[in-house]
Amino acid sequence: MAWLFAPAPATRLAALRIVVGTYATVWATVRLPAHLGHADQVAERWQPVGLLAPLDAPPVAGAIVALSVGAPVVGLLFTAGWRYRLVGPLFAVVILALATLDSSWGQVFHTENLLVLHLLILAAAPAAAALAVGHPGTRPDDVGERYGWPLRLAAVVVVLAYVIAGIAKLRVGGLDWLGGDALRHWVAQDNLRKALLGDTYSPFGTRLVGQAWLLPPMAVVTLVVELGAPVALAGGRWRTAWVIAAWLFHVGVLALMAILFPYQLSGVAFAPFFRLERVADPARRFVNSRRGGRRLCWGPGSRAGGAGSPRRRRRASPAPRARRAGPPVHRVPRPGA
Amino acid sequence: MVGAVAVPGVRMLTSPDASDGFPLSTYPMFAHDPGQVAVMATAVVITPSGDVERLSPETIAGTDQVIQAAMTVRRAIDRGRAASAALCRDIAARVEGSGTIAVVIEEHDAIAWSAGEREPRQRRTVSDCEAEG
Repeated sequence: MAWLFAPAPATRLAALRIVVGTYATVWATVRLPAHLGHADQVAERWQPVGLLAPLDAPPVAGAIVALSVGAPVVGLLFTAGWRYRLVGPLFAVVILALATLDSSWGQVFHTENLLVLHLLILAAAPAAAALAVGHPGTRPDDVGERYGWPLRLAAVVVVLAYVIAGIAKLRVGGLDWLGGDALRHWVAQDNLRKALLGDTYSPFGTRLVGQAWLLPPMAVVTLVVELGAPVALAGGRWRTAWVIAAWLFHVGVLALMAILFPYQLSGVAFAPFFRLERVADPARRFVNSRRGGRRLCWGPGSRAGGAGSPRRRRRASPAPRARRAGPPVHRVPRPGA
Repeated sequence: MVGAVAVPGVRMLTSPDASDGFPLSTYPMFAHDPGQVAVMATAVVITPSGDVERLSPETIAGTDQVIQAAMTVRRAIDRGRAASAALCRDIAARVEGSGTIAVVIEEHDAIAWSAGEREPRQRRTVSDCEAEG
């Protein structure tokens, strides 16, 4: 538990918000036509799951359109960190609803699970305490437990997803799964199904099916990656090695079966494992330097006249800096100070 | 959150038939062996010359997802001749050009198909109708 609640910099969590928020906004924009298309689906196809399971019929067209069109807009606000206490949970629920809607027509997708879980975690966390537009919160140099647990929780859910997938293969297929026949048949059947239904399939995958000797080692590697996911929590080289292996695994799935896991392939799914502030901090310093020393709204006290600005702080509080309610927040010296 | 995400895994451990969900999933994809023989429901266009042309998921079911299109055809077939005929007419209305739309069940050897044998071992037409274009 101490590991889960170890302090982390506010900028790391904020950077995760920006990365995941940007991805989700792009996803909602690219998927907009498909999401709007749900409004035209015949009700007979409705097989709701998750959040929508209690509904006997698809949501009304107006609700689908509002969710679909509103998602990219709310996503921009989420990414910017604007009014985060309201926008954070709102965006997480909107994306949860849209992704659940996608999976409520006869096929449960597994491509957006981690995205939704990460958004829900971020929505419950102080992810706009830094690098946020117009947010009068704490300083971006803050370090605290409240910034640490969401990052580690986001990493843990990634690990759990892979471990559960590995468990499912062993539980359903048994040790026979390692023999490679199941994988070979899946590659063949999935490409065949795509071909029969007029979709793009993988010619590379169909060729590989003919090389049966390759499938057993591929099955073993698949299970090693999935069941070995917990090593990523050890950090360092173990983490990096596992993330590369998991990414290559998804490259393989794309090459063999034309199945795209964009959240994983973009690397965003693995962002919680890394010190994102190493990118965010130089970017923040660069932006601030371009502003001629005046700090942009990348954090509190950065906007002239803002609630956290030196001018306003002097008026608002006799203390050099008012402590916000919540868990203790540790200060670390600025680099070079 | 950790507990909620882990619960489907525990359910999978206790029962391999545990139902999937979203966003909390048992991740059952590719877990069982589907075998070499594939029996698949789909819809095709049969041209006046007798050639078989494949239709896209959008044309078949108004979706960009292959499995959802396949499920649409399968469910229509399972619900009986009237539902299959209704689906056939829906597809015909979305097809550009003329020909016979056929809602079919095809049986393939998936390994042989991968090796280049494209013709099904069997094709059973459940319903057909004309596309006027």
